[in-house]
Amino acid sequence: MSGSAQTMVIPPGPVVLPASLASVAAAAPASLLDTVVAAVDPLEIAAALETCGMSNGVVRDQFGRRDVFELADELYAAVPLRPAPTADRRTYRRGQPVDLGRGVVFAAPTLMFAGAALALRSWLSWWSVPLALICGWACSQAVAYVGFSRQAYREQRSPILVWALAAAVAICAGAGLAGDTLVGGRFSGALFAAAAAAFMTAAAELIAHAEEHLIGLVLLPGAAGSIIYITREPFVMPVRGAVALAAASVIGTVIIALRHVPARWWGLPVANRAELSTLARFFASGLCCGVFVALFMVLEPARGGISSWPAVAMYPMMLSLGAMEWQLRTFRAAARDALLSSRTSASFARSARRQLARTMACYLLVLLSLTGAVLALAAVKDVPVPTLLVVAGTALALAFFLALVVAACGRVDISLRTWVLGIAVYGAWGVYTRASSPRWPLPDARLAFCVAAVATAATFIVIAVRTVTNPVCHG
Amino acid sequence: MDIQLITEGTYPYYMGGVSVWCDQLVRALTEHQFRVFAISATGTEHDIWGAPANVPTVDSVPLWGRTSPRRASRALQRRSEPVLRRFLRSLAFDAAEADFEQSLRELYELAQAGQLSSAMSSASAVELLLSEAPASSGRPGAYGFNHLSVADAVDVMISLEHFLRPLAARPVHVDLCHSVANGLGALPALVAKWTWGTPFLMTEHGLYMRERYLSYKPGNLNQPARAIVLRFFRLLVEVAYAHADIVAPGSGYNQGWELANRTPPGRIRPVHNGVDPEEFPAAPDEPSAPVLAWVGRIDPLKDVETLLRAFALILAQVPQCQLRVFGPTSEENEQYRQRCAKLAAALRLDQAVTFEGRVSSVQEAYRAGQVVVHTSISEGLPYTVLEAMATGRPVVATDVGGVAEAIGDAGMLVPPRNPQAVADACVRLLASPGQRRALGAAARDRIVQHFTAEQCFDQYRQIYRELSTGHPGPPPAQHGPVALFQMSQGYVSTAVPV
Repeated sequence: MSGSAQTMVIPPGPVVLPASLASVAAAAPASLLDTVVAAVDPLEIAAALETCGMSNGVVRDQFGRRDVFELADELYAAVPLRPAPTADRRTYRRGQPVDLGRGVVFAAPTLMFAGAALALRSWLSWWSVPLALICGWACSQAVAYVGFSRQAYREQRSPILVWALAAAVAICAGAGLAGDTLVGGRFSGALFAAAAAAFMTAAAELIAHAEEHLIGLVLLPGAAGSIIYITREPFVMPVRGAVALAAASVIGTVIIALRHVPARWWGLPVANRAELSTLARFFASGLCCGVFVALFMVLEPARGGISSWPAVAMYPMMLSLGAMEWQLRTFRAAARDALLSSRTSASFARSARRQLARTMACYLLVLLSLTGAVLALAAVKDVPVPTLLVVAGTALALAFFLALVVAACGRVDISLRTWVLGIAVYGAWGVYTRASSPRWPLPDARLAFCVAAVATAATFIVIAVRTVTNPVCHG
Repeated sequence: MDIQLITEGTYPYYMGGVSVWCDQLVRALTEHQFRVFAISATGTEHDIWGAPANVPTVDSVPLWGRTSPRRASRALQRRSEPVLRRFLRSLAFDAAEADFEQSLRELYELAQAGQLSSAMSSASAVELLLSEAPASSGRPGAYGFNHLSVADAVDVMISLEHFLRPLAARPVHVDLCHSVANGLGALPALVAKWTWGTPFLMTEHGLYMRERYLSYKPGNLNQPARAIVLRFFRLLVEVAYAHADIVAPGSGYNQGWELANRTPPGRIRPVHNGVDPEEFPAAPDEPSAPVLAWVGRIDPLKDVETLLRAFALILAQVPQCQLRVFGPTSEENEQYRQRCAKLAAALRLDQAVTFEGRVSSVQEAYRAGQVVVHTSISEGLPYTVLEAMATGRPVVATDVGGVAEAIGDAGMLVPPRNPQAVADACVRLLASPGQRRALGAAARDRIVQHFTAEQCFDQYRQIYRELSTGHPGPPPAQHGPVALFQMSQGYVSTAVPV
């Protein structure tokens, strides 16, 4: 059996009924004979007879049998079962060049918010960007989960976006207030965080509805304003202009995304406890991703505020989001094909492992190429990039990719545990270092981040291999 | 009495004939309390019927809703393996029915411990199915389960896991379990019977097993997977028939299927659906133009395509005729609706056919036509036919399920999937106002005499009383469903009294 979809074809050769059933053969439509040759029991033939208009009365009057069951028994015994036709099977779309383009849409907000953050730097607090990252990542994962699961079941729309936006704003406001009073900073920083988180959340809703093109359109003014503001050439963009354009992009995205909210926007976003539990896992998984990156932004040694090195180290990953999407789709399609063509679990596991290795290699090739390009650009600009950060960024990108693979296999719970493990490694170092050295910034933060990222990526490799070889994950 | 009313894919979350019936039942039998156990699709459904005061609880078990992903631990795999192995072996065509029932009980215990879903969704369960490969058929030329691909095995195990989810619900101790269909809806009733010996009443409007055969037709799943799934349903249906204290089909016709599935004959008690004649008063007059009305949900089982093909033939003879199609389309049938719309366009019917969607007044929908057409390929005793008849409209309907019992001589019966027969009957009626009037009046009389909701629910009162006391009630009325069924055995009749 091939993995490709096939239409149902009755094997060649006419269905020969014995002479005693010749009158039935003459009266029967082709669809009835299709059922007769493949029936699993006589009752299936009886059901087919009835839907072809052969009720008990017809069978009695025209064919001289007591009822449809007697005729069905006769047909079942007289016609040998034909090797059953292959059904159309669900296959997945492979990655395409358009997926690379989607990566640009995912990466563009970074540029926009970089411009806005630069313009507002005197208004922001050191915790603004990390807060936006944590909150936005968590809420967007929750929205994306509900959006995709609703589509999978062809169900009505969910008010999850309203809940997630409310949560994002509330968390940012609460954290802003706390930050203002406990660790210092400006409450206005919370506004930036809330806007960024709201954008990520709304964008997730649009992505779940395959409306990346709308995100791209709405991002245009904000991204353009940021580019002009950052480069300052050939035009001069006032601070207010850059911020207003970014704000317009955020508001536009939220408004467009709210189209997908049902009229009963105050309703519950999930159906039952099980769905709530999965939703919580996706939220927590996003939270962990945000925390992982945010911790590093906060702990990375810098002079006077947050260092820009982490952002540089993340560029290759941000630029490779399209390649992630492309390879994820390609892997899922290949694994599904392997599932359809395998006769044993062992042969499927071998195929799945091979496909995972291939897809990881492809992604790593793209990632390393982009890393090389970023490093070359940095060298041209005479900006040295710390090697440890490059290694950490690469490991983290691989970890994110494999987390996507694992989550796509329906095992976000395992993915979540792995992120927690990574944060624990990093957190343990932070606690230990802080206890032994009260200095700020903490020493060896970069090394610790690198170790945590590599450990997380290595763990993800192990669990991805275990997950993708489970056939149920591709059903 | 405290009654658990068990539904699958109907009341209180969906529209349709069975939901109408459930709503009528709980509102008519106010002396009883109904705890609704609804097997739903995803758990995102809303109660659209508004439960009355005697329905204190509505518990939902979504078959296809998400569950929390949980990996089956080694300990769980060890514990569940023998249970799953026995279950899979019991699905072999030559296994004893008792084996299946026994394995169902074991699965129930696993489900109550919260372990069935994880056990059945595990790689080891798939491996077990691939290795067990029980023979699917004793038919000449049969090739068995050993042709399962890994994808087939995954599909089967995932499907079975979903189907068995009602076993995980906590059983409710009530006076009576009343399942409104066979199949998965019988699972909670079986559990209550095993646990407390709770009486079990099964009402069958359609025929669960026949509809499963139509859903899992060749080509929808690979043959070996299809064989396992259908075998599962057939065994489940047979176990349920064997344990039901009373099986109440909605039409006499269904008895044939129930007997074929080994229902003890003495336990079958047909009870016809009914409508309230006051809710569907006789229409005072008919439209002046030739109009056909079709009322129902847009669904492949309703065979709207035959309707359209028939209408194309009608238009050739009655060019000014209009067809008005009333009824909603569920999301899962949206593709089918589009296919019908394309067919209408291909047959150049665009100007003459209107898809009017859900209507606020179904009475108006029946009145909109000079003739009401019904083209289903599978039915129990459809309300659309009863309501149209109560409205005094002549009906042209396919001879499926209990339709013949409802129509008797007061309408025109045609074979299913036969556009020419539908067209001939419609043209004949459209051409004859006298025949229309006569048939409409006869239809109304027939409903008032034999198919009122009051008659239907009086019989259920009686059945409830019997099951609660264990005493058999009086024999069915002289013109009860069995008598009507026997009257309608004369095959497809297009003889029209004038």
